[in-house]
Parts: sequence; C-alpha cells; structure tokens
Amino acid sequence: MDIIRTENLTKIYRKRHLGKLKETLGVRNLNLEIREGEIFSLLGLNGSGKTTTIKLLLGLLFPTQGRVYIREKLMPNKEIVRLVGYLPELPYFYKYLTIDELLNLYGCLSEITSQEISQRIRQVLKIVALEKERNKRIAELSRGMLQRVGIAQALLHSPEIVIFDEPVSGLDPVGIREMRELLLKLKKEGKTIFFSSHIISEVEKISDRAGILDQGELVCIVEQKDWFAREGGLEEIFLETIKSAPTVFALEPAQA
Amino acid sequence: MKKIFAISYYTVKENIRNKIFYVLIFFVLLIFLATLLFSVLGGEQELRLLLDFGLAAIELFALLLTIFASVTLVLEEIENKTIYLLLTRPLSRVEYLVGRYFGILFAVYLSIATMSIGHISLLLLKKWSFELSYFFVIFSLGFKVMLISGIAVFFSLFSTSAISSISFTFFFWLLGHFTEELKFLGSKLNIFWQYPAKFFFYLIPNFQYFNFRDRIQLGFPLLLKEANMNFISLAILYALVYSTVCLFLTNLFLSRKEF
Amino acid sequence: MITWIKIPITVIFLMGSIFILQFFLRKNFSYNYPFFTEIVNLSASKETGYGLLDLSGIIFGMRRMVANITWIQLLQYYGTPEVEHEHKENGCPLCKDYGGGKYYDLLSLTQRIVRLDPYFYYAYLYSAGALAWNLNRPEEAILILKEGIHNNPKYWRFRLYLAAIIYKQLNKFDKMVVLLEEAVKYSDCPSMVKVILANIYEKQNRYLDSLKIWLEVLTSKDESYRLLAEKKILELKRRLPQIKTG
Repeated sequence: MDIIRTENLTKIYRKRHLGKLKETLGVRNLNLEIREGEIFSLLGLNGSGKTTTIKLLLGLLFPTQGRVYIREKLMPNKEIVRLVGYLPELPYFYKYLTIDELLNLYGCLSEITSQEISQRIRQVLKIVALEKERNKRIAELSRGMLQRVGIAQALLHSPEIVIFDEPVSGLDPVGIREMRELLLKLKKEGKTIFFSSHIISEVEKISDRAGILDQGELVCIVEQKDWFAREGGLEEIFLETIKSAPTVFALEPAQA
Repeated sequence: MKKIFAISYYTVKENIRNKIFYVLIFFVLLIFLATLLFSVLGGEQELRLLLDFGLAAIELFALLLTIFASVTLVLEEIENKTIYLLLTRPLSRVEYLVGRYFGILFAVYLSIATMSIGHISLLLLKKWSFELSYFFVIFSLGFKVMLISGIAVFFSLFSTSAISSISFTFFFWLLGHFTEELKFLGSKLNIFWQYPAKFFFYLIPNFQYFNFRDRIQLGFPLLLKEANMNFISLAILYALVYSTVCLFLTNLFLSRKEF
Repeated sequence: MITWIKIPITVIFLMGSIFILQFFLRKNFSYNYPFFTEIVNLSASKETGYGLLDLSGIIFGMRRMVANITWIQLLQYYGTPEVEHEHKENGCPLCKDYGGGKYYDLLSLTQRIVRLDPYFYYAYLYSAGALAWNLNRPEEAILILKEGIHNNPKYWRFRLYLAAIIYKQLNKFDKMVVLLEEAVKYSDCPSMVKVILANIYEKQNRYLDSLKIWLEVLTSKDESYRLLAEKKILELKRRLPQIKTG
C-alpha cells in the first residue's frame, strides 16, 4: 500500500523583482508512490528539487499544481502531519533553550500527553546518546550533537513516516555509520523512511528504492535489485541517467 | 490551547535569556545614573523627575523590546529556519502566531513588572509616598504594548525586511501619540478633505487613550475625565479588538506564506 | 482554513467594531493640552533651537518628560549668573547673588514648560515667585499665574499667589505678607517663596518668625536651599539673644 503519493506535483517559484516576474522551476509533474515500510531515497544533484519535494510533502511549500496524499488523505492535514517525523538538512533550534526544554516543546506540539512526554524524551535521548547533555543549551552544542538533537526531535512522537533531508551530509564517517544503523533500525520497527541525498554510496547500502531527480523532474525510479544486478551499482545508473537528461552541463553555442 | 500555551511559555523563556536580560541590566544602570544626575539637577522636583524619567524609561525599553521581539518573531524564525520544525507538526499557523504573540506579551509584561519593582524601590528610598495611580500608569502601558506588538507582527509579515517593519511600526507609534494634534490639524482642512482625514484619524491606533503616564497628575487624585470605568473598559476593548484585527490580517499573510 | 468569503466579512466586522469603539471612546475622552504649534513656535523663536525637542516630546507622548528637561534648563538658567554681567566688572554683585540677573528668558522658559505640561503646578509657582519678588517683574508673574488658573481652575493656590502679587503692586505689603504666610503652609510651596517671606520678616526685624521659616527651608530637597538655610539660621541665632536682651 502506498503511504505517500503525489499526483503531478509541480512547484514553480515566482519572484517579482523590479516589476518583472521571474519564474524558477522547483519540481514538475512529480508522481511518487512510497510504499509502507520501505526506505525510499531521492537522489539528485544540488538544485535538482529534492528539498522542494520534501517541503511540498510537509506543507511548508504549496504546490503550484498537483496534490500530495499521505495515507490517502490530501495534504496539508493536521491529523496526518502527526504521523510524520522530519529532520531538515541543517537542524536549526532555539539557541537559548536546553535540549530538554526543546524536546518538551516539540513533544507538546506533537500532542504527546504530559505523562508520556518525559518517558519519550528519555527514550529518544538514549537512542542518540545525549542523555548526559539534556540540560545543555543548544548554543553550547557541536554540529554533530545538533544533528543528534534533530534526530531526537524527529523520532520523539514515534512517527510512522520519517522524512530526512540530506541526513548524512556533513557527518564524519562514524556519524554516517550511526545514521545508517539508525535508519535500518527504524525500518525494522516498521517505519517508512523517505530521505534525500546526493551521497550515492550511502543510498545504495540501505535503500529499497531510489528516485532520481534531475532539474525538477523525476527521471526514473530504481529498485534495489537493479543496482545489485549491475556492475558499478547505483552510481553508474545515476550518472547514466543524469547524462542522458538534456541540458546538463550544456554549454551555450559559441558565437560565430 | 495547550499548544498555544507551550509556544508562549518557551517564547517567554527564550526572550528572558536572550533579550530581556540585557534590557534589565541597561535599565538598572540608566536609572542609577539618572538618580545621581537628578539629585543634583532636579532641585525640589527631584522626585517628580525620577518618577517621570523612570516611567518613560520603562515605556521606552518596553517599546524597544516589543518592537524588536515582534518584528523578528516570524522573520527571524524564517531566517533561522526554526519555523520548519514547528509547522511540520500538528500545529496550525494561527496557533503558532497566537502562541508567539502571547509569549512576547508575557515576556514584555514580565520585564515591565521587574523594571517597575526596581523603580518603585528607588522611589521609596527617596521617600516617595506610594500612589495607586502608578499602577494605573503601568496597567495602561500594558495595553499600549499589546497594540504595538500586534501592529509590529502585522508589518513583519506585510513587508519582508526587518528594517522596514521596524520603521513602519515606529512610525505608527509616533502617529498614535500624535493623533489628537492631527485631529486638530484635520479640522482646519476644507470640507472635501475633512472626511478622509476623519476616517484616517479613526483608523490609526490612538495611543493617547493609554497614555496615562503623560496625562495623569501623579501626586494628585485622578482628575482626568477619562479615568472612569466606562472609558477604561472601552479602551481595553479597543486594544483587544485592534490587536485581533492585526493578528487576523497577519494570519492571512502567514497562511499563504511559504517557507 | 479560512474561506475567502469569510475574510471580507470578518474584516468589515472587526473594522466596524474599531470605528464604533472609537465613537464611544471620543465621548469620554478629553485632551486639554495647548496645540503643539503654540509650544514649537515659542521654543523655535528663541535661539535655543529647542523646537525639535519639544515636538519630539509631543510626538512620543512624553510631554511631562520634555517639560522636566525644560525645567532643568530653567533651574540651570536661573541658577547661574547671566553672562552679560560676568565680564563687566570684577566682583559684580549680580554675578555673585543667586537670581541677581535680569533673566529675561525666564518667562518664555516657563511658558514652554507649562504649555508642554499645563499641570506642572510647581513650575507656575516657582517662576511666578521668582518674577514677582526676586526680579521685580510682577506683570510677567501675573501672566504665568493667569495661564495656570486658565489651565487649572480648581487649583486655588494660583489665586493666592496672584492676590499676593497684586498687593505687592499696590504696595499693600501687610496684606501681601498675610497671603504669603498662607502660601508657605502648603507642602508644595517652593522654598524660594519661603525664603522671600523669611527675608521680608528679617527686614521687618521679625527674626524669630524668620528663623521659623528658615528651619522649614532646612528640610528642602534642594541642597542649595539647605546650605543657605544653615547659614541663615546661624546668623539669626547669633542675633536673637541680642534682641532679647536688648
């Protein structure tokens, strides 16, 4: 069963500058179907529309055209949003709050009951190994710790769907490995994972399927068996797909 | 309601640790310096000077705090992207806005209360005989803060830069205190312009309704015509309705805003 | 979600509420202050260039605060010797004695203060006292007091001072003294007026009465008055036994 579905999802950014309307394509005619319990990754170069897709799924952006359904409910839907845990590319938090206060706030907003909340905070802090730092202010944390707080807040309300935007970018090898293990653990728990990345080696290690985005369009969806069957793996498929896509690195014709 | 409270609560906490703390330190320093200065310069009116200066300082600090906190309320949150993790939860944008708004109000009220306690203590040290009208002045300041915060939040979403929002809000603050003079100027216009002028006069927020700091005669019983329950309850209602309009319009912008 | 039909209706309803509230608020509201041009014209007409200060006080809704600043200016002005006397002669008495100059700007400074804050009672009393008894310009003092009475018809002390000044003009000193004696009984009577009465007593050889007044001046919040009172009390105490024995 598809847990997330998009129908002709299109986003065109419109900006008016000095009276002139400037249009930039975010994504075009995106038709995605994410199955329950799978790890689906969205691959693409920088600016290919990965973050736009995620923001459209979460209702941070409004589609110019098309629709998003989660559990067959049209988004944005307050009831459905609670099923989703989201980790942005760079987690930004309130600098002057402590980890504990921050998670308390997010817990409350995620409608976790006050009896449950402290127990859940303890659980997620254990997962991300930040139990000792819970009374530290966000401003005092390192980049790696912030990423962990980000994970903690995404998992706080035990979401069915986990959406991570570039979860491994900027992490050291140990961090990347921990993230990989976490995603696999979450899959084992039956959660659906949707994440974007441009680090192909990581994507092929854990994903069940991968969608390749190029210049705002979903070029193809590759299954795990496809990249296992092929020499060079997913990287080869990705590069081939991108090469075949028109206008990538295309130079303007030289003037005669 | 629980979510609104949670957002308000943490807004207060953050503001206390961030902005208010510095404002209070600055206020204490300023008041201390003023005391030294006025005891030399004020002659027999030292107490009046200390009283007025303290109340004016409380208001200015509250104003600065309100404007900066309200303007950066959404703008800073968009810039820092902290809003992502709020709006991707089962939280409507109205709840977010109202929670943040109340948070700022409580934070500013808390700082006003702290500054007032400091001010009153200083006055009592200077043998000031305590007056209830002092509370009346502080109470009315609370409604000024409520109004200006609503206006600032509105401008922060209406215009996209913090500088222009702060300028617009500040301009409204001045305009709101100048309304009575403007009304007089308006009455001098020809009949054709008088109606638009009147409409404008009724539309802009009138801060003089809450400006008891300037209009009350401290040291004398309440002699103002408007120091009655009828006027006060109407003025409170006015502040509430005006702020609601601001929040309603802000929400119109916010509900269409993309992040 | 707010549907687009609801939005204009809600806006109209809320805006309507504001207008209705304004209508009722106006009925209960009074703003009895001189129009800002009256003050700005006055302050800008002087070379002081304080028009902007006064205007900003009005725009910020801080009339009292700016009135206080102007009050400090007045005290500074009246408390320092006037420049025109300073270099004319060595040991010029006008330079030495407090309030000994002409202080022609005292009236306009006071007018600025009381037009910013028409309820600054002390400023009226102080300046009227200084103008009438120290600078001997009772007409100007009367002008200030009349403005005070116009702005504060219920504050009867202005009438008391006015009557005392008129008696002074008519050379009816006994009646003036009676009124001054009445004036010094109130806590908001400027020490300057008390000093005036004490000096009158001294001239009339009523040293004991003068001493009583100086003892009151000793409680003034203004240090210069306290110092003056200490000096005068010592002086009078020295004289008093002689008088008694004499």
